[in-house]
Amino acid sequence: MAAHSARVLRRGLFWQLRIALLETRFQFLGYLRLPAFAVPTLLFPLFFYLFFGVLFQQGGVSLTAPTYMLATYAVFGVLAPSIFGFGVGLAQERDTGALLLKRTTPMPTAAYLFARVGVAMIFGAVVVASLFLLAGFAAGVELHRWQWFALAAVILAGVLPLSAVGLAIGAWAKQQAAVAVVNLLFIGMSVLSGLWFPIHMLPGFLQDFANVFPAYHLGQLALKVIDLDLGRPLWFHLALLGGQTAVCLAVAAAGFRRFSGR
Amino acid sequence: MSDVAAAERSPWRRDPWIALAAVAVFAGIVMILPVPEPADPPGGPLPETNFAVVDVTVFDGEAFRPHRDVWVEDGRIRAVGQRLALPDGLPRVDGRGHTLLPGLIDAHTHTYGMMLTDALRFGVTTVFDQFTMPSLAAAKRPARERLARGDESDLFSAGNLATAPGGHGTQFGVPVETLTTPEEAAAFVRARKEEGADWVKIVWEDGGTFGADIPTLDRETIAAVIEAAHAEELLAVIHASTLEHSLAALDMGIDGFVHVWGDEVISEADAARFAEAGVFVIPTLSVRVAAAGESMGPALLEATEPEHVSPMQRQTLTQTFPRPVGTSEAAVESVRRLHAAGVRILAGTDAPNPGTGFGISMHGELRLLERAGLSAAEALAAATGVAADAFGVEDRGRLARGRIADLLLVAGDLESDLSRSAAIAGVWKDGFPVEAAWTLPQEPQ
Amino acid sequence: MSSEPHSTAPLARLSGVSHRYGDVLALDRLDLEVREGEVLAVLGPNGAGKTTAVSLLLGTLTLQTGAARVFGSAPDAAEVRLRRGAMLQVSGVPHTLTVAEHLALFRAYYPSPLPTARLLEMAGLQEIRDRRFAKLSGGQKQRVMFALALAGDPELVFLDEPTAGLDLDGRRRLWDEIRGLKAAGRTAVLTTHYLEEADALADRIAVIHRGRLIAEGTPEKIKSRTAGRVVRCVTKISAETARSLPEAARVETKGQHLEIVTAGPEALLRRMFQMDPGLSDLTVVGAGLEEAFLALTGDGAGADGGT
Repeated sequence: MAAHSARVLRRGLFWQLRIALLETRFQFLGYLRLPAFAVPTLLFPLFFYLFFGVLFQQGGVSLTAPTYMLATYAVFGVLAPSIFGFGVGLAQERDTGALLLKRTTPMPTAAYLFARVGVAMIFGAVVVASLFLLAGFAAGVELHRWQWFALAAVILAGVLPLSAVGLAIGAWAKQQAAVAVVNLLFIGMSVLSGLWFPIHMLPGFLQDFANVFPAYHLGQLALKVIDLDLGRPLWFHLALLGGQTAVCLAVAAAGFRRFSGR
Repeated sequence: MSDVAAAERSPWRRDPWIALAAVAVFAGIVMILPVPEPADPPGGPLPETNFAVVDVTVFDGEAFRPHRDVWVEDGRIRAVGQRLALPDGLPRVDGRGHTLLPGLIDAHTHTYGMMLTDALRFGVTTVFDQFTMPSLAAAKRPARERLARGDESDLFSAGNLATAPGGHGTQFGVPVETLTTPEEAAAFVRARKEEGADWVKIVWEDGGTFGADIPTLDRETIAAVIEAAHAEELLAVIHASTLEHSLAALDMGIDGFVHVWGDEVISEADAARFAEAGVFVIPTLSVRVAAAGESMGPALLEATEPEHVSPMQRQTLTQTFPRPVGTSEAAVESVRRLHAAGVRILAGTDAPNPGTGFGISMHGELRLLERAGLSAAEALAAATGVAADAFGVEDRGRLARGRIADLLLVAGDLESDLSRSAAIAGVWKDGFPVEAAWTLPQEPQ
Repeated sequence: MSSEPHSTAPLARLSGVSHRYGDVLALDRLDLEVREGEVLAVLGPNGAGKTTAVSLLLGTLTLQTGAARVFGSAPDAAEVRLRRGAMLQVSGVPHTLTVAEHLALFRAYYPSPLPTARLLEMAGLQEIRDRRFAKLSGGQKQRVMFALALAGDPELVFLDEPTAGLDLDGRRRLWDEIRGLKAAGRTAVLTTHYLEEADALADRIAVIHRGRLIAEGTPEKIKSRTAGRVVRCVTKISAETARSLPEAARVETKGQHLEIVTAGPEALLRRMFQMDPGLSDLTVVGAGLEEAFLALTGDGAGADGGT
């Protein structure tokens, strides 16, 4: 039996990856069957963009607004699956005990986290692809091929820092509290980070305040790809985003330690 | 048991492939998204536009130059000269017995329907539109910024014209922004500029010359619009149907006239004032003679193979004005005096007014200008170099190194017979050959 | 206990384990052994520390004092997880997935899982394999959790209050399935606060009270010590005197009343009526588990009400 187990453990990374993919598949299926999650997540950014980025711009000759909004609404589009998936989803599985049950199994923790990030990325990728198609073929946005790819890459990579925010909430809050906190953060961070309307329309002190939000830095990085950011250097946003992610992960780790000591 | 277990495990062996397929679909979507055309070639090579016209008489936008080679590369003219050292294998067009000139510029049109395609077939590669729907103009403008295969001529446009509510220009059923007071002028012009207007066109038309009474802008408002246009660094041109109005506009600082008036012949002294002011005039004699009941339309139509004329061209060429207005002689004489005084004359047709057709009427207009005393070279310059300069349009109207390869090749020697302009042997847009009309030129009646 | 016919080393063991939640001492120097092939019932009232003990054996709680070994390793070691399964007191797994999907996921965690058909059969889930978890009854949900515990074909299964919240029928069905485990030669640890349940399923019962192991043995042995009754009456006999009676396991004064826990109420009452013919307001009730545990502690000296 010991030899058998050792053989199993040697499967190592490949075995973990298979479980991670299966976890991803079933978490994704689960959310897909949850219209209250899937429908707003997929359609809100599209409707917002259709309304503000396409219809409002009809007859205008400038393509700046639809291009700008493409970047910010795409960030908005990955914000929801990232922070709701972790913030509410994790709190829920912790409250029901499903997470505890999984901790008694050989499921690798990494596979579970991979799946949560993966599901957010899948939803994010669907939103990004739909927004891109809408922008390219309805709003007339034209970007260099590398810009399209870079924009997609920046935004999908943004799932990681945004997920860290959700993880920190999900590690501490009970399900009901998590719903409230995540909603507040979702709306507040969207507006104050300049995802709904350009950041430069906010008063100066709010523009400074926006620095505390990962979504703001992510939005600026996305806008940097299309040369519409506020002009802060790349390292500034990367450093703050990295720092904020580290803080969120530390907060989350503390939450889980408290949880297992209970 | 282990067989069963293995069989049950198979569904999740597909997961990596599903993941890969999803990534591929995503990348595929990104790959079909629109990208900007290279804005300013030589950014991208266009090898299919590489060719040379050899041993041809060139009209370069000012004058005729015999026995020239013209080398086109990547949609632009690479070189013009005698016995150029052309690379082996470069496609060559034998230019002997032909004249090569820059694609024509029709300085007065109203874009509508298939106009840009119809015009291109007849060698008109650029149009200066003097009033069309701003949205249409906005849709067509981007094409002029890029070199690409296409079947339309390039558009520059005033867009929405400046006229009074109910005034001339509002009768076509197209929504038109109007104004009534000088105070509105600045905002009005700024709105035109934001719409993308390339210049501002003003209408001063009370209908007097054709026996009607229609509302028109007052002098103060016209002066204010001219001033506002200059403040926005836009040209201001005017439709003025009488000499009196034209002279008044001249005093207000107008940059150009989009018609010659039909009521009175200008005095030599006044013509000198035009010349001194540096203004340009687009006489649109084609529509003047048509209004006088002497349309060139039927003759142009007759000289052309029917398959090259669109139904719309045929329809507008054969249309007539309800009743004759003015005489062609007064208009032609005024142009003669303006030209003699040194005023810049530009070729424009005012198509698709009755008696004119997109593109095709430019060949009639050239001969009408000739009738007004312009030499063949001067008439062609009015349709090429002078027009481009007057509107500050670069890259066009001249056959010279670096210019866009918009070309018209005609059979024969235009210097000795301008009517040969319609004997079209080839048209190139951005260096790409386009389907060209050909005509059997005859003397206009 | 060493006289029991199990000579092999224990599969799992807690040795001298104490655990505190803040000021509350949940486990107090607890020793517990799980032997190969047995069904061990950990019996105790709510709050006795059963779930804490199981959590320490599962490694979901961090050990504070003492030692915990499972298969000779730390309880949360990777190879331990591969060889054991657990059914916890949890309200469920994600609601939008079907029974079969949950099984597929859990089976994937293990190198040689039980076939799905076998799991469905063992837990009686054949009819509802494609139903979403949200649509299941309480009993069906518990059976799914049971099936998930068995997904990896474990050698050792922990069942923490498996029948909690089930109706009688649901309880009996799950009992049948747990008996099936035993028949298949697996080792199981079952926590319960029903003596009846422990009796029905276990080879051996460990009774925990206030974090301490207070009795251990075969169901018969435990039952014999806990089949008590509570005699309650108003009498002139003093508590002191009553305690000296051989049938009295525990005596307590409650206002005017005297409460005596006893394994032989008839003999006790016969004796008491002889001593006090005026004995009045008499009730005799079956002792609850609480009383049974108090009886097992051997004396009422604690006198703290016991609740």
